[in-house]
Amino acid sequence: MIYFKRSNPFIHLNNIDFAIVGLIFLMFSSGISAQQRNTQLKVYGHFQYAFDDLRGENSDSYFTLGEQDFFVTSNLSDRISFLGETVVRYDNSTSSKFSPSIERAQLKFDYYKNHSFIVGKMHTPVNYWNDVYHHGRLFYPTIDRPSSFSYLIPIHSLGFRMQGQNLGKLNFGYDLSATNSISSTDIFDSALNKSVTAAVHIKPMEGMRVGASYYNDYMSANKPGAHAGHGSGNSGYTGALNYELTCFSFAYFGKHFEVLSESVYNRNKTDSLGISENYSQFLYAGWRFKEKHVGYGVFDYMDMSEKELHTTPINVIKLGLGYKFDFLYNCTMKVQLERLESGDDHLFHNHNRISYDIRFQLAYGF
Amino acid sequence: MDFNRYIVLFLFSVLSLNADLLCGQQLSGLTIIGNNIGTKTLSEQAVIDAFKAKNNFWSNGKALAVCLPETKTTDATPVCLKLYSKTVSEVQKFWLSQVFQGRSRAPHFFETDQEMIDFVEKTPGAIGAFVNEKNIPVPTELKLQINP
Repeated sequence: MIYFKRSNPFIHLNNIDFAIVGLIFLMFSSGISAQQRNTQLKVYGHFQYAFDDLRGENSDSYFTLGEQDFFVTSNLSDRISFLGETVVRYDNSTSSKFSPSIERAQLKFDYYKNHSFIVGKMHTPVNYWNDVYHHGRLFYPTIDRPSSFSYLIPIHSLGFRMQGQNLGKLNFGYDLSATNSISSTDIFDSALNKSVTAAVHIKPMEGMRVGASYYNDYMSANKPGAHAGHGSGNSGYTGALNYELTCFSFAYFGKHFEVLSESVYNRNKTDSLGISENYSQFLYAGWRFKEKHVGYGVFDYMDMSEKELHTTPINVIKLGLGYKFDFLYNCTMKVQLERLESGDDHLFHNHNRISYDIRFQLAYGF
Repeated sequence: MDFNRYIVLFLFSVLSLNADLLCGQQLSGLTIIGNNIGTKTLSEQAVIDAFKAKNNFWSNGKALAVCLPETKTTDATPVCLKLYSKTVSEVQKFWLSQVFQGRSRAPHFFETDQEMIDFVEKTPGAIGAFVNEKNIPVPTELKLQINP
């Protein structure tokens, strides 16, 4: 925290103020050079209202101020571009109750035709959702991300990446990356080996993308790091762990029919409990019945092994029905009614918690 | 065998839901201009691919710069419909998403046809489309011949 004692004893800046001041400065500086660099600043965010556990005894309803996402792009030259994404979100551990977080900061060098070299912090391109939607609720087809994002998917990675896209008639694309471990921070990784990602996809027709990926990270010490995105990291286990993730995505967003399937298979090996195998399947199907109106259904399933040590073993099954109204191209309203069963017991058992929730979300980007 | 039949049926259903893709797209009525893009003649499909930023660079190595009419102009609707088979709002969201993914560079938007012509004229690799209802004279070196 910095105090400007002489100019005004009442003005002080904490992290969030610094972020805002920095962004204002960026806006002005980008205006100066926009003609040359085509620098753009965009803001994405969302508000939410939820009514949880509609039929339970512990019902609650609340408004939520969602992530505020400051997104900047700039062309440094014909072949080098920058992309940055800083998110300010609720954080109970700070005095302001909000904290900024750099989600993406990457330099991209287009070295040959549609082949690029990217360095920096990026979203791990393991599946369609993480590669396309990032933190932009405006683009989400549903209100929430698949459950696997909180437990299995290594959301961020810091390192380098080779990328190709729209190659050949099938619009083939690839992403190969070597990045810091899941257990690392944004400035340090104690491991010599790096996590590796190999992802491929094709876009055989307009609106369709089919992809598969493999991710491997050997962690000499399992600890929740900056790149896991796992809100439920298992801090109780600090031994070695070999983390393998295989994903398959199918996405089709046509004039009327929309479908997104995210399949995840995760295999973790430890010396203490051996191999744990975890599965997740997310399925979204929507029907755009007018240009701006979509009705949809969502199925989200996650089954984790009792031997799981990397993260908290939990089983989830969610069924939901929703409606999305794109009343502006940059403003979307969604409402979703869902039945959520989750717990450490196997699914469809009475021990798990079951709740019926309804959520409203207003997402924007400009 | 049955499984294969289901796959064929599924693919057919998806294709039929997107039938406009099978019908082809007509760029007649649009004036397409380009500056130093390595060719003076393009097929309709190549133009559409360029406006959808399928490639970042032209064959001569120049970086692609997409130029479109500002969304509130009268040109915006026909240009979006013919090039993208989408409404103006859908095209705006398409570009918002493309840039957000970090896969394409943002397009340039122009209030008037003349502003677009001026920009393309001084930007190698730029390609633009407009209706040219006012018959503004277009420099010959910028005109592109579009083959069906």
